[in-house]
Amino acid sequence: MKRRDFLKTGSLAVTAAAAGALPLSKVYSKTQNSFSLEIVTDKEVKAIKLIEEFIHVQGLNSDTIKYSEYRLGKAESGDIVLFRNSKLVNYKEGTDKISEGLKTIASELELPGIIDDPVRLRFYTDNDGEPAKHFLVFLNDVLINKIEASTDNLNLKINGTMGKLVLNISGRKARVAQSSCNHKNCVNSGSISLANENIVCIPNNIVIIAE
Amino acid sequence: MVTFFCIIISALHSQETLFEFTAGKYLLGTKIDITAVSCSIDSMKKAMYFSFKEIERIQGVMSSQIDSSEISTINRNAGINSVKVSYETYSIIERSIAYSKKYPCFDITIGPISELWGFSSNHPVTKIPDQNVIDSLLLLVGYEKIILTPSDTSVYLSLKGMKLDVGGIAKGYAVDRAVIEMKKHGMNNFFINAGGDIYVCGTKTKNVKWSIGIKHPRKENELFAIIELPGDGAIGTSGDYERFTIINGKRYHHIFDVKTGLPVMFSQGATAFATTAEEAVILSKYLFIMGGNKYISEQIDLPAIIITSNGDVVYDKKLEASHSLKLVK
Repeated sequence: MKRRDFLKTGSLAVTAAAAGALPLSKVYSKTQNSFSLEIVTDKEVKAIKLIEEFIHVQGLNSDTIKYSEYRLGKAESGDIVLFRNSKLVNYKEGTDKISEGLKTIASELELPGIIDDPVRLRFYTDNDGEPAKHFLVFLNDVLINKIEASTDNLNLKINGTMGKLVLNISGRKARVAQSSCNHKNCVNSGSISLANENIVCIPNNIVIIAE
Repeated sequence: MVTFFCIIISALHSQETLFEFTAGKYLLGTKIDITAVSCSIDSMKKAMYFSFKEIERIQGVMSSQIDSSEISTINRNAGINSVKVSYETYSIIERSIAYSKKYPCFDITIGPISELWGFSSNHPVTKIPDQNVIDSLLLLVGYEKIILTPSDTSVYLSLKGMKLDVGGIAKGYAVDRAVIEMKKHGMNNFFINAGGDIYVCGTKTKNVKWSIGIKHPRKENELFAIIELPGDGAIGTSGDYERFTIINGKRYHHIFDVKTGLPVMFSQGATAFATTAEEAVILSKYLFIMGGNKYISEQIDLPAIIITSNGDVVYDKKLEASHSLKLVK
């Protein structure tokens, strides 16, 4: 397995609800220093180093910062998006230290721009227990759909490796309504509604993550 | 001057940003997640890459779902030929036999029974298998029917139709090997979760230990207990909610009584603690099969949490202090 292939096929960066025992989510509490920084780029190695440095220099660090990365299924607009304490930082027009820092990073990564083989990197403070804003759908570890949690009465049919899976989104919750798999663990695992919760259908290679 | 320099370095380190990263892969029939905390994301990714590579290698050697694996080759030659295998595979079979002698309810020759019930192929049966068929397959079960030759590390299954199923112990072993890779690549704070069998190393932050929630076997998305490991170590869980089928309103799961060929019905779930993941997996299966009543009546001297078949929780009270065990009301 080459490292590139490992990244393509394996890097779903969320905690999984496994059978039996699982890492505990703590009760969500907004902190003064909460942030979420997303980059869509094809220069992930360089981007990681730049953002690690940026977070350290700007004093954005919290206790521990969570990091996730996954490939996107198609060409996307690459850019940097920073939310600080739930407010979007408009770095392109800002003149503060943080905006200037992000402009430097964007320039180094040649963003914004269209990225043919994009990877989405996300650095964020612990938001376990926070109500989900989106539900992300992955097939074979590639993001194929991002659905607003506010969407109501949606039945999304997904063609998995083994057959069809129907994802129902309603009342800010997501659940698997139907699945072609034999065990139906994904159906039996119930609904998700809080950040970082997930549902996995292994036979269909489908993962749904609340974000 | 030297002391001052060290203090500066120490102060700088204490301000380093820590990142938490999780990567997951489907291997050995389950989702395996590795979560680590480090000041370098690239270092974590590298360590996880090598850890998953090691787990993948072990899958290739030991999975009975892979035709070219050593275990599959042994199974194909049951009653026909002795098969020379790697020392690694030989050792795991040897250890499995030792575990069976210590914990008689554990037996890797249960393969024909698992296959009959459909759990090894992920196509569980929809009606209870015929008892005569079960009885005929039970004649193929028994670790004493495995013939080991240490001089050339060969393995012979003495009866045609015998099948080894090392899935559980191989999963624990693979986690232990992944732990070695993580540490070899500089990681000191991480945990590996292989479908509920977990190894914990270090802490989540400087002051916060890794917390493990144990899922309630009957209530979706609910925990019934929370624990913290006091140091590096492993937790194994076995449950009737992992792989099961419902026939005529009754649950039949994948953990069998080696004497009857039927699923054991004393427990809904069992959690065990050990220094290695391999041992934790074995102990959790043993405790699940023994059940809560025997755990108490036979005073089994193992730290454990068992949910009995009627939902009562039986546990070693010492875990409240040693592992900060809290039952969720």
